[in-house]
Amino acid sequence: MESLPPEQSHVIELAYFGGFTHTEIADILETPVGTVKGRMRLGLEKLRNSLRMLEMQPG
Amino acid sequence: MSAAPDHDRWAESLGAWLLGALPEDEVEGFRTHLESCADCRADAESLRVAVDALPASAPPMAPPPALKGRLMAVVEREASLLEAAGPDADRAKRSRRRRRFPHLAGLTLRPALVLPLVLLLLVIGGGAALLGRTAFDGQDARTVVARVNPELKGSQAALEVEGDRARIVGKKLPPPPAGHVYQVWLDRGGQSPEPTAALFSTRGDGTVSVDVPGSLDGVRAVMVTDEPIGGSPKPTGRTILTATPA
Repeated sequence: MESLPPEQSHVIELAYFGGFTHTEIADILETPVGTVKGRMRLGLEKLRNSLRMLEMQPG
Repeated sequence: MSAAPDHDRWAESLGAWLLGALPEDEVEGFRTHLESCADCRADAESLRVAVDALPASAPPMAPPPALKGRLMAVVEREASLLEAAGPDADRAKRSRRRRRFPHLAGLTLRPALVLPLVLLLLVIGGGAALLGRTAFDGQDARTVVARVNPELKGSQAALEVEGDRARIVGKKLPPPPAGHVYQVWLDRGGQSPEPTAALFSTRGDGTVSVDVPGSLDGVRAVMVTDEPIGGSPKPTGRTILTATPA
């Protein structure tokens, strides 16, 4: 998660660990719902890519 | 692979769905779309690895001894049942959402040293409107999941922190009892937590959004207790939640 931009890790933390829905997060952050959903997806994609890179590293 | 006709409408919800963050009234629609959309199914499969890795990224927190004891009792009891039920007994349906909510076993509040003036500011429906909302969405914004009193089953709360400012957000919180409000306190490691002017109740839907007054500099914990209307100079009611911003 530390590899993610804060705005992406923020929405993921609120959703996954906080249990908030995307509309609730949009309200909390005063950000459009579409932006929140986009950040969730982008964050997950970056996290997946980071995990793949870790798997590819030797040792 | 191919996309379903309604792909554009639902594609951006995939991340929220994987995180369990779709509102209830959207879940069925998304599932229906997923059944017909090969593109989204492939994306979901691809991103699942990221979601599965999230539990490992949660900050480690030691459970209070009482909670640890209860958890271990449950684990041992379930292990016995599974052993008796056979090898396939633990193939449970996947949970839509997995959360990690360490609970507060009870906080001992110390007596107050000084009696500062508590502003009689009652913030109904969240403190944002009266205290001034802050957009906690900058580069250094972060989230601290609060420990909610386990008596408040189903309640959830978090502390939004940006710089030295913070906001408490929550959902499914019960309103304070009649004649009472919730009050925010700052524990700076002194003999007693400092009272703040942030007095609030829940919104009708159980949600809360209230700014923490002042700076978080030197604050060990932000707490919320249940106090008589007008607030108290020192905590008198039960602790509703605690969050440690550091």
